Amino acid sequence: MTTTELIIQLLITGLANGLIIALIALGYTMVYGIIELINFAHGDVMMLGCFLALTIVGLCGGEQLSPWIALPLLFLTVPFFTAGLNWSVEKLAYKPIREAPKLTALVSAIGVSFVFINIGMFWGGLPMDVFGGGGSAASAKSFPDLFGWSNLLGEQSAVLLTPRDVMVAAVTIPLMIGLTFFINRTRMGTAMRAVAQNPTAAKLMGIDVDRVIGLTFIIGGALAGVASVITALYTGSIHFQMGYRNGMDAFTAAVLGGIGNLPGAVLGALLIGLVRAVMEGYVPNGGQWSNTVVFALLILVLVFRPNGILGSRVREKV
Amino acid sequence: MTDPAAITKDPLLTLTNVSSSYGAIKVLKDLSLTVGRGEIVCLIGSNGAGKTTALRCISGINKISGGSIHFAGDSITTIPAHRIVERGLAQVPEGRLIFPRLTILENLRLGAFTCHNAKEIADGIDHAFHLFPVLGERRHQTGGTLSGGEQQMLAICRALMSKPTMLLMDEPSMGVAPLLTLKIFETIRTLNNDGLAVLLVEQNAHLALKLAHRGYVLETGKIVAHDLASNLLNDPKVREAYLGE
Repeated sequence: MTTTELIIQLLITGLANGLIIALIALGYTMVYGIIELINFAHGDVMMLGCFLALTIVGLCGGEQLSPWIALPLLFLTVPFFTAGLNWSVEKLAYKPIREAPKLTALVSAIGVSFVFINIGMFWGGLPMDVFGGGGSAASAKSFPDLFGWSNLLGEQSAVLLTPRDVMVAAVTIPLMIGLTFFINRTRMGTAMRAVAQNPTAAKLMGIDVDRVIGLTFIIGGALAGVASVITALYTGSIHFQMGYRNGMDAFTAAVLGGIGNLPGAVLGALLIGLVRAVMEGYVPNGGQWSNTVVFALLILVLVFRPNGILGSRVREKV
Repeated sequence: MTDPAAITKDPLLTLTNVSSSYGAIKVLKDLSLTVGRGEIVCLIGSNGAGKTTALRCISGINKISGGSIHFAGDSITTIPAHRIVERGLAQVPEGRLIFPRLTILENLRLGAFTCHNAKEIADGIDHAFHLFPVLGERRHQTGGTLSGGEQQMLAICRALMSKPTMLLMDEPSMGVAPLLTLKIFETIRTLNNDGLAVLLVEQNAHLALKLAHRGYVLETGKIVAHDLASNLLNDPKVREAYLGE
């Protein structure tokens, strides 16, 4: 493998991983932007989405299921479920304590996270074949391989580009463009930015702030749902604790890019994806050190740019 | 003290015995006032008298603990803040509360959030740029880059975008250069001549009383004086307490 080929390979793997992290990071950063809450349950919403995806695939025939049926089915049902779940979390666990000190909501978020992790463990113990037929609830569940590992660049090519890499890009990039358009160009998107900048003034404009916050959780949840389907298909394995690992990466990405800043979250996620790809694919035994490098990078960036790479968020005092 | 009902034949906004508290502190105590259709009424008083709280209660931002508020014949006492604008009652808040990272155009469009007619919104924006041409010249600039006076103009135009019948204005002169303050007060008069009712809260009692038809004096949450603005301007007690004489 030549150096060029190696760099291309690392870019493919890094960007695919980064785009998945970005989908989750957008949910963190949007919610933070609007109510200044780190929604620690966000990663676990994504985890439950993975379990729903596996349940659906299991009920529909597992390995035998054609990707042309599975993909539309999963991309319609799972985001719908996670969006509803995220919306309910906001209504039940955050809205009633919105006027309380910020720490209260943070603790509430951590509580929801634990509840979801336990639901995930219970779910994995259901007596279904895809879950190991009621075997160990806590074990990792393998997700049926719907894509195969064929190399789109030809079998003799040193660089591996699989259909799953293409799927990641084909799903996430249009979604991000769509989200950017929604936030910057539509009436509700502008209302969302207004609520983020000044909720009181937004109310005086006739904006229903509660509805806008609910919508933010719905969008964040739907993005997490898309991320769950992609992650399950891409990695081929799900686990009840995966929300923590994925959520941590995404949260770090959001902080790295500047929390509250949407392009920043994507940038931070791509950076983390690339760092992980380099560590796992190039550095000997680097996989064990990738967390260390990612968080060292985070600390380094925050020392020099406390608001993150793209963040210049200083709350306007009125 | 004159009976407000005798002065205002056609009440648009009526507060009856309104009370409101921040925690244990009672900010408004049985506040009653009336603004008639097409009238400019000012509410003057020292810092902490409860002027801003009164406006926030009317707009539904602050909850009231007693009394009632009626607008255009309907009770708006328990109506949530975001449902009040569509009834024709808009506010230019204290400190202007411009959206700092939205452009002038986006700020204006948000003012018309309750309006779904594209033509009306476009007309509203034209009207705003006609009132204050500087806003038109800088339409793509973000709100945070404007001077205090420009932000005040934007806040007024933003409130007008909902086509209100009444405007609540909180300290339009605060942080604004004196010359611009005069321009803004002139604009209020022009808007009033076109039929807009105004409830004006102002530290600059002299300017406010010269502009208004009637005035209320608020002290620690209570109305202590109420009269025609011209009478208040000549009232020795008001002159001493609020006009610095």
